[in-house]
Formats: sequence, C-alpha cells, structure tokens
Amino acid sequence: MMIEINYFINVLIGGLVVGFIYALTALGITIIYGILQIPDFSHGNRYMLGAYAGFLAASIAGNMLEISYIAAILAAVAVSALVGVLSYLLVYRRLLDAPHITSFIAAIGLLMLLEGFALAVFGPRYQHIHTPFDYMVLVGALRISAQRLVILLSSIATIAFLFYFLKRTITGIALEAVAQSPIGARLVGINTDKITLIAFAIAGALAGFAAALIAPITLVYPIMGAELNLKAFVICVVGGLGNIPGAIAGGLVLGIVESIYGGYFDIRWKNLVAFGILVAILILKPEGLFGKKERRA
Amino acid sequence: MLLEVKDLHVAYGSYEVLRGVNLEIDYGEIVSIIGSNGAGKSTLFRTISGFIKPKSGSIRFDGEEIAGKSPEEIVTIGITHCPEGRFLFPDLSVYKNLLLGYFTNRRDKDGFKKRLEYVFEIFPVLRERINQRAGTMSGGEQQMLAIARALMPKPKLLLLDEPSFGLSPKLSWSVFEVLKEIKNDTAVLVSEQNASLSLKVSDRAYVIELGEIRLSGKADEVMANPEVKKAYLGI
Ligand SMILES: Nc1ncnc2c1ncn2[C@@H]1O[C@H](COP(=O)(O)OP(=O)(O)OP(=O)(O)O)[C@@H](O)[C@H]1O
Ligand SMILES: [Mg+2]
Repeated sequence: MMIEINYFINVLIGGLVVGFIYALTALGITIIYGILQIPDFSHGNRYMLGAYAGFLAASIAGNMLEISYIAAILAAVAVSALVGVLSYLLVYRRLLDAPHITSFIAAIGLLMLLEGFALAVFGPRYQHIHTPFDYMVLVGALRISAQRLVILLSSIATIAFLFYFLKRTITGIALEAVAQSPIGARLVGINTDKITLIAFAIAGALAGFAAALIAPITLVYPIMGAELNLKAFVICVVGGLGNIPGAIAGGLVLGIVESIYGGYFDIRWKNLVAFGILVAILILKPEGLFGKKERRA
Repeated sequence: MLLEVKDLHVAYGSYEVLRGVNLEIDYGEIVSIIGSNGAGKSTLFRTISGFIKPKSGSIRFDGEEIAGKSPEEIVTIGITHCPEGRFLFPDLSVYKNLLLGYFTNRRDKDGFKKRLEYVFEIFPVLRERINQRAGTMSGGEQQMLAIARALMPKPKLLLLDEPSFGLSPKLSWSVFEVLKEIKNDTAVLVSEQNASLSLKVSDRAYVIELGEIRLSGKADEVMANPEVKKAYLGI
C-alpha cells in the first residue's frame, strides 16, 4: 500500500515536472499570440537553441558542476531571449501589415530554418547537460530526484515572478494593455514596438529556462524543439490562445495525464491518450478551457 | 495660439479626405467641429494625434511643428485623443486604465495620485468603480473612463471625438458640462454630428463638409446660422 502511494506520488511529480516545462514553453507562445495574434510556430526552436547554448556554455565552463550548470542556465536563457528578439526584428516586424497567413508561413519557415541550423552545426547526436542535482533527496518517506525538485520550485518561482511582472509593474501592465487594445495602448503613449520586443524576449527567456531545466533529464537534440512545440501549441489552444492561466493549467494537465498514463498503462499509448483528451476538450469547448470570445480593438 | 492647423491635406490612398483644412484653438478654449457622417472629423483628429501622416500642410502646437510625429510623441507633447470607439482596456480595472493613461509620466508617482484625485472629482462614479473591469461597465461609464484616461497626463489639448455617441441626452449633457470645468487647464476640440449640446458649451465652432471648413465663428453665431440650424441642429 505504502509503496503504491509512493509510486503514485512519484508519477504525479513526474507529471508536474514535465507539465511545468510544457507550461513555461506554452506561456511564451500565448504571450506572443496575445500581442501579435501570430501562432509563432518557431517558438519550440528557441527552446532547442537555448538547450544547445546551455550545452556549449557548460562544456566551456569546465568541470565544476555547480558552475557549469549555472553557466548553462544563463546561456540558455540569454540565447533563447536573443533568438526571440531577433525573430521579431528580422521577420515578424516586417510582416505586421501583411495578412496573418504570411506570418504563419514565416513562422513555419523559421522553425525549419533553426532546426536545420542545429542539425548542420551539432549533428543529430544526443548531447548531455550535467547537473549538480544528480542525487535523490528524502521528503518524508519519498525519494525524489533533486533535479525534479529544482524544476518544480524554480518553475513555480518563475511563474510567480511573471505574474508579479504582468500585474504589478507598469511595463507588465502595458504589455497586457497592448494585448487588449493596441490602439488604446498607442493612445496613452505606449510604444507598442518596444513592448512587443519585450514580449518576445520574455517568451524566449522562458523557453530557454525550461530547456536548461529539463535538459539534464531528457538530453539535447535537434528535433527536441519541434516535439515540444506541437504539444505547447495544443496546450495553448486548449487553454485559450492568449490566455496566460490557461497555458499554465493546460501544460500541467497534459503533463500529469501523460505521466499517469505512462506510469500505469502501455507507454506507447501515452500520446494517443493525452492528445485524445485534448482534442475532446476542444470539441466540447472550442474557445478553450479558459477561452473568451474575441474582443479586441 | 495653442494649436494651428494650416492647409492640411490627408488622403487614404488616392482618396483625399481632408482638402486644405485650416483651424485654430487658443488656450482655455472649447472648440466644436461639426460635420455630417464622413465629413472628415475623425480623420482630422487621427492626423493631429499622429495615427495618420498628412500628405501636406502644417500642424503647430505651442509653436512647434508636430505634423508626422508618432502618437507616443504627441501624447508626451501634451495632446491626448479620446476617439470614437473609446479603445479602453476591457479586461483591466478602472484603476489600471487610468494608470496607463498616465503612462508617459509614469515615474511621477505623486503626480499620478493628484491626477487620479482630479479625475475622480470630475467623474465620481469612477471612484466607486475603481476595481471593476472596464469592459463590464455601462456605455456611459465607459465614456467617462475614456475621457478620464485621456485627461490623466494633464494634456494641454484634448481631442474628443463624438463623446455623446450612444449616450442619453442627459448623460451627454453632463459630459459637456465637465468640459467647462477642465478648459482652463485643458483646451478641448470636440466633434459632433448633432451639435446642439456641444455648441452650448463651446466658445467657437467650425463646420466641416467633405473635408473642407465651410464656416467658422463664435459658437452662438454658428448656432444662429440658418443653414447650420437646418443641417446640424435639427431645427
Ligand atoms: N481607414 C480608412 N480608409 C479609407 N477611407 C477611410 C478610412 N477612414 C475613413 N475613411 C473615409 O474618409 C472619410 C472621412 O471619414 P471620417 O471618419 O474622418 O469622417 P467623420 O467626419 O468622422 O464621420 P462620422 O461622423 O461618421 O464619424 C469617409 O468618406 C470615410 O469613408
Ligand atoms: Mg468620426
């Protein structure tokens, strides 16, 4: 009995860990969608490039795991944020007046381009980022991997910080204002271009952080971004595109469903069941779990 | 002069909507611009507030040429625009809408509190609604919030586009009454299709037809003009 409960809790924690990674990535997509109404399909590759940046930084930083892992996190966050900013400046900004489908196609093009870049530079091999938290800790009667605890705590802290930023700082409030009414934002003197740039930087930074957190567990490889991207998109649509609590809830739900299914049933059916549930939610509630009717001017 | 518009030409593509508009506003004035549907009032406002670049002509504000500047620059210089359709932030509270109204002066915390108090005195109902989401308020309350938001940065000039749209005559009148209270700090250019209320509080008025100023003068003179009476006052 005790063992069963412990197993269940471990499965649950595994689900939360993956769920928070999904949530952090989906948040970026939903923030960008809120501002520009672009489904930014290249987002997953900010995550992937961040992971590679982390891998490189860790290799350069040397053998002290504490130092090399911190270097990996910082590099991943910085590079992913930079890739976000550049994809706005070089691609999306030039398409602001074009039909949305153009940005949509451009996003897919950017996805392929960045993935091709990673494959050309790093090859298809799996790379490893080592973590200093490679041990088990006892929490009560539970043995939990320290890295998983680190992922849980730092994801929660990051999301709390994001909420503080959006709800309490003037720049964050301006970001929400641009999402709700770009014209209203310009009427009060907000530079919407600058806010959009900040949104891309935040979205990228969140993806890079997620990548550096999970890479010690799942490794680093070129199509890791595309794999996550698909899930993050489904999460965003289920949570209501542009809806921030929806992205978090959607990510956690998918992570937990996947993990419970994989923990108790045939793991090969994991995606089928998880996506089946997501599609079912969409059919029953097309505007997403937390979706609202479009109202934007 | 606070605002001097000279020979302003504005076009959407090849279709010229403003064809040489001349207009002036002095400090402390309320000026009405009257014109029927499609005359070009909103286009004039959007051009002054920087949303549309003029084809030619000059807009001088406080002695400085401002034609072609961005909306952010225009707000910073001291002109705010309360447009048709309001463009509030529907999911943000009344408080945050007003906070964003003060965006260009955001570092001045004390100044913000003073202005907040000022707009609450003008529109007491907003104080009661301070935590309510803007989109859930009635049309009249939203109109008041839109005007209050535009007043937050203490503009020298307020461009008020059809403030009575969708409001009852009684509510419209209370909005126009407010203009008299603020005009010493903030001059007002107000547009209306149906002008009887706005002319009563205005010092001067212009009549615009098909992108050209047809008539201008003291508000009571314009109101007395037989053609104006027939076309815009419904008398
Ligand atoms: N974005 C636009 N693109 C093309 N034409 C436009 C645009 N906005 C307005 N127009 C045209 O310009 C002319 C002037 O419009 P404007 O909105 O300035 O008039 P208005 O005086 O404000 O009218 P109303 O009283 O109906 O608000 C109209 O013929 C209108 O159809
Ligand atoms: Mg108009």
